[in-house]
Amino acid sequence: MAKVMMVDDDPDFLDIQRGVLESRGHEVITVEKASEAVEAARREKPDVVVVDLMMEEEDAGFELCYRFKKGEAGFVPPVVMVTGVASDPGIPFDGGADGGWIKADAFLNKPIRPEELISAVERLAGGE
Amino acid sequence: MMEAVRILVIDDEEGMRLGCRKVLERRGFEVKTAADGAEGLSLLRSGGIDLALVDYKLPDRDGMSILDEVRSEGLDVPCIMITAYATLESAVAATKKGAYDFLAKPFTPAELNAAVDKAVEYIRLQREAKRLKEEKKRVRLEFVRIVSHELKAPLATIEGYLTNLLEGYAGDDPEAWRRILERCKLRAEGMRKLIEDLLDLTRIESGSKESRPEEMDLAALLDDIVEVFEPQAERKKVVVEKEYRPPIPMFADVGELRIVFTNLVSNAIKYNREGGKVTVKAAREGDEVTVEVSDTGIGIREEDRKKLFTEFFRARTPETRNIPGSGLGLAIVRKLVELGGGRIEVESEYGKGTTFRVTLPARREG
Repeated sequence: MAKVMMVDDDPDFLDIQRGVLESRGHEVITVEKASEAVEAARREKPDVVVVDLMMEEEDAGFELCYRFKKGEAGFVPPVVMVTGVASDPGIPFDGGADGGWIKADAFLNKPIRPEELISAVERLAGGE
Repeated sequence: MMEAVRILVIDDEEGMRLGCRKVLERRGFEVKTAADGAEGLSLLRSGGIDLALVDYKLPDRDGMSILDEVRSEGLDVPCIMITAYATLESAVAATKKGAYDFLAKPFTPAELNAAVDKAVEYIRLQREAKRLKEEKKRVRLEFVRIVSHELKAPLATIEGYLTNLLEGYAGDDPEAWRRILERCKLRAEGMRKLIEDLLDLTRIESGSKESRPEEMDLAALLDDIVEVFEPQAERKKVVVEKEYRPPIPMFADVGELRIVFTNLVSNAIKYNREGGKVTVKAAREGDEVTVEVSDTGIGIREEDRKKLFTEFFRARTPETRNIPGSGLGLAIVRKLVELGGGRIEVESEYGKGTTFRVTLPARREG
């Protein structure tokens, strides 16, 4: 069982993914504001963080991922990046295609299938 | 002012090239010259030429053949033909090949200037038309992009919830299922409202919705609208009070006013608190009619007030999360009010309530 923190400004999205992860017995913490995520992580020490790329400001997700990877939360959590933009122009984001400059550990394109989220979260929570 | 116009003079007579250059440069044009057809064409092909003066008789080729090349290669450059033999036949032939104008040798600087000015005005209009076309295309694409996003977002939510229900990720509590279904319904309602509003907006903007002003009673229209919203107000325990004395005679488009006040009354109920109040005031003063729709609702934050009438803008606060809306209602209201020669103002205090005031001419012209 893992402790998962999800950051997205769409409460419905958070609610749906909470259902998916909780049905597998994981504990889910949700944060709607990117600006509050680092502090929340410092407090809650999640095993995995799931971040939406596009929040209020266009690059809030990138920025947040970078801050996590710099260790601003006091530790460096594995990060799953979720994006709804990738499928629009037909450019899939993944660790290779972006040249590795986005420091996320996994990428998921919206709409995400429940089993994709589960497998990414469980792989990262167990592996790190 | 338009960007500099670059003119190419193709003529084998050196005196001609120098003369044209002198006259045109004095007028602020950028001038290039070519002594034969090959040099001229290569300059035309390399781009950066807005207008060409082409001599009919060039040492290496016929000036007319340059017109053919310009046209077949899609070089967007109007050509003024210079000719020593201004015959009707040659003029007709050149026009067929796409020449823009003629200058008969010998010509005076004034004649040269007149021909060039005419062509420059033509180029300016062409550029303006092209710019407008591109701007229109950009706006249309942006609109489509936003609409797609606004439709995709609720659809993704509905799909996500339904997937959870169907694939066993929604637990086994019927109360939780019910909450999920209610959320889906709310998002579906939002989509329907968006589509309806888009159709209204399209009708207004395409001009296909012609205004039909007629003699009407505003008080009767407001009575009618308030009555339609009674059930919705009751569900939210909102009281709707009417403060106006019938009749309020107007000469206006009933259909348009119905959309305007339906939106405002609907908002006043939707964004109200349970147990709140909506007040609809209306009065005619001289040539103007003023309608005020006030609520005791959640109010609008200062920073949101400026963007309120912008298409697709929705104030995002914890209170608005469960209220479906397309973000188009007030954009439509403002368009219609302005179409009717009126204006709309808003006063609001966050957490206290909002008043929309619509002022319209009592008798619409045209």
